[in-house]
Amino acid sequence: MLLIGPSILLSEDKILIEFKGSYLAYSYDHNQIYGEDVFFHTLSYDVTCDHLKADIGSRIFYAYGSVVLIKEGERFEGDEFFFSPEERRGTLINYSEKVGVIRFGPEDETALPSDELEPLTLSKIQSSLFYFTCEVAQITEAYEVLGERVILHLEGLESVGFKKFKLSSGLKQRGSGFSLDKIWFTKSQGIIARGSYLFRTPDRVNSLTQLNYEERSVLKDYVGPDRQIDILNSTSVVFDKNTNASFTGNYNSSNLWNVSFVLNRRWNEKVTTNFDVSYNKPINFKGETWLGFTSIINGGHLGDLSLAGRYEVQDQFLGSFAYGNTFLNHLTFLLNSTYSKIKIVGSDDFSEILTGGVSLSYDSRVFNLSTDYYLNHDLFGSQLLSQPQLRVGVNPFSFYGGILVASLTNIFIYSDVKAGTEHQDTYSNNTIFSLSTQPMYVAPSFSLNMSVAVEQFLEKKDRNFTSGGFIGNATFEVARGFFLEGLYNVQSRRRSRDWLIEGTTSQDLSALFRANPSDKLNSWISISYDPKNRQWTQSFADISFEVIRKWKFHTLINYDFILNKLNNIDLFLVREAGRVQLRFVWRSLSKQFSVELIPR
Amino acid sequence: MIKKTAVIFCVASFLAGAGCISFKIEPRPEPEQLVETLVLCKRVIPDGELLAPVDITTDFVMEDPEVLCFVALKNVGQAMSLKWKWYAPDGMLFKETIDVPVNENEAYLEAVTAYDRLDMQQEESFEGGWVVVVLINGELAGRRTFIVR
Repeated sequence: MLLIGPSILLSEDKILIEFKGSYLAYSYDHNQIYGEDVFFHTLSYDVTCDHLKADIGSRIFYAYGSVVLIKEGERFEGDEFFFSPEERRGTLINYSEKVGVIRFGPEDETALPSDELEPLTLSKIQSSLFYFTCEVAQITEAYEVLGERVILHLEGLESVGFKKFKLSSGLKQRGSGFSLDKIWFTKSQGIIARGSYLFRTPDRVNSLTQLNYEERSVLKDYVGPDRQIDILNSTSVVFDKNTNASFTGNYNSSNLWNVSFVLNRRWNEKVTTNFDVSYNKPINFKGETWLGFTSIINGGHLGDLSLAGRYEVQDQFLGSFAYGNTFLNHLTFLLNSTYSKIKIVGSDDFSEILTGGVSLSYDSRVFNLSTDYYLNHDLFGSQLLSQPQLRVGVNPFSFYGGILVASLTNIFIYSDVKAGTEHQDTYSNNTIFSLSTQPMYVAPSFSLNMSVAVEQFLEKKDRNFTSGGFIGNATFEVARGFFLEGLYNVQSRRRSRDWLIEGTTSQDLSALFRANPSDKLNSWISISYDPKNRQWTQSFADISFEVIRKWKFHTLINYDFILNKLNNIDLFLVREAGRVQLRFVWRSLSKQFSVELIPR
Repeated sequence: MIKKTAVIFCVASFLAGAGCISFKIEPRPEPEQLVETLVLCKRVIPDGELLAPVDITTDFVMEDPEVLCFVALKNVGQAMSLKWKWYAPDGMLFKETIDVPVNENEAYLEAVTAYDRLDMQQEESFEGGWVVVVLINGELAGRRTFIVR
């Protein structure tokens, strides 16, 4: 059971702007307002206009058609007026012999707004699942929308009226202040309360503290702790355009907590550094305090370098560096190394590992060549793994008039492991060849395409595999947007070991009917047959079509011929409604019917 | 007991929070937004008794022969005039049409489609951001921006 409403009681946000009009409509689905013959007061001016559009989510307000601004003897007229009541700035535009622009508020030269509100039309508002018309619409500082003398329109039908109503109720758009977001009770979870406190100053501080409380003592036969409290804080502060900091903290009543502080500094266009301090206290283990930094240097033609280091007060250490550069357009060089000294859980010893890698690759239009060297040195366990690799590949190339496309890749890996006096080396070689065709139109509505692939895997230890596969596909367009497809694939895998050859082969033959003539119908049905075992295997169907006015029916069906039963059938009736989706769902596996309102 | 309390709390909170009492409200006057579609395109084709835009875009190149500004109006019940104004990248009025009369007989028209064209000229001054506005009875009804490269 869900309790809603307390947040409304607790939010006493000030009104940012109020609109009065001969027609005002607010779409809950899209969080947008459309108005006609509108009056409002902003930037100390009384403003009238023919039309108003507002996108509350993106904070864009736009008045157009005979716009007049009046204030104590001042009068401005224009065709368009873009404004931000929060930032107290606006731009009045007049289309006469030239585009005339008058700016109000801070004197910075912002670009003229683009056509962002182009999709906001009266038709769009009126086709919403939920929309309201009202005489007065108010927008609070938290960008909640309130209406006076409101009529609710449900799926286009005029419904009940309200003297005053919070039109955007239930949506998370809020400014500073405390909010008790939800209180739930369920037989399995007990009482759950969620509250939060948001503090923010525009463009500078954003701090959200959340409290999650679970009371389980009310539950019968519950053996865990009676209650649990979670407090989370996430704060970000912008000092200037090059410096910002963030803090996150989390406390859980099961004696788990962690905090971290990160300071980001951009020194110039090429160098960025962040410093961090963190403390983490896991359950039943000693806490750890880490200090660290990461620096990224974009050196342009000299290459990119990143350096990172972290130190823990109990003598743990993590360090890494990476360098990458591209020479002569085709040659790429990468070098990286990491060092870690980490305490082994449950002992006073440390694991100490040094890794390094270097890679040089060449990529041309015809082929690519890459050589890698990877090193892992376990300084504590005295093990050394070195692994050179060589990759050679021919880039996919087409021939025979572009109908055939082929590619070839070979990867050779050599591994050398030294552990004390023990020494072991292995190698493997993997070769992959593929050949595929572009769709070949035998007739205007009938096409064929196929692909074959062969892979050979050789290992020093006599584990040799050869795999091959073929996929053929035929497509026949029965009518525009309706296709009948046949698909055959065969896969074979052989393993040779001395004189023994073993392997498997599988085949599949499928037929598929696909219909997507328009946005209103998008469906396919398939049936599969196993020629090797001479039996039908599976059938799938994914059927989706528009029933009426943005309502879509969707079903997923799976039938298993081997078990001779309907494995699964899901039925959906979906209404796309902007930022929410309303779904009526029936699932055969759980045999449950549910109604879901999902925020998007 | 907890469940019952929670239900009462839920209903009370919701009504108090929303501060709402349902009552009958006089119907609003019908809205008048006439512009259903306002787009820029490269071609216009017949679509039954009306026209339909093809190749809708806001990005044009000098090689395009023309830029079309297409407008579709709905529920037109009165006589009116339509006018297009094209503003060049320097912000100056480049071209404007006369007031084109629509529905002079004042019949009810479910839909009206119309367009104006800007002929592309191979001049450097054509490159940049353009603005076209559509006026109904002299009042701004819509605006679109586009780029010529």
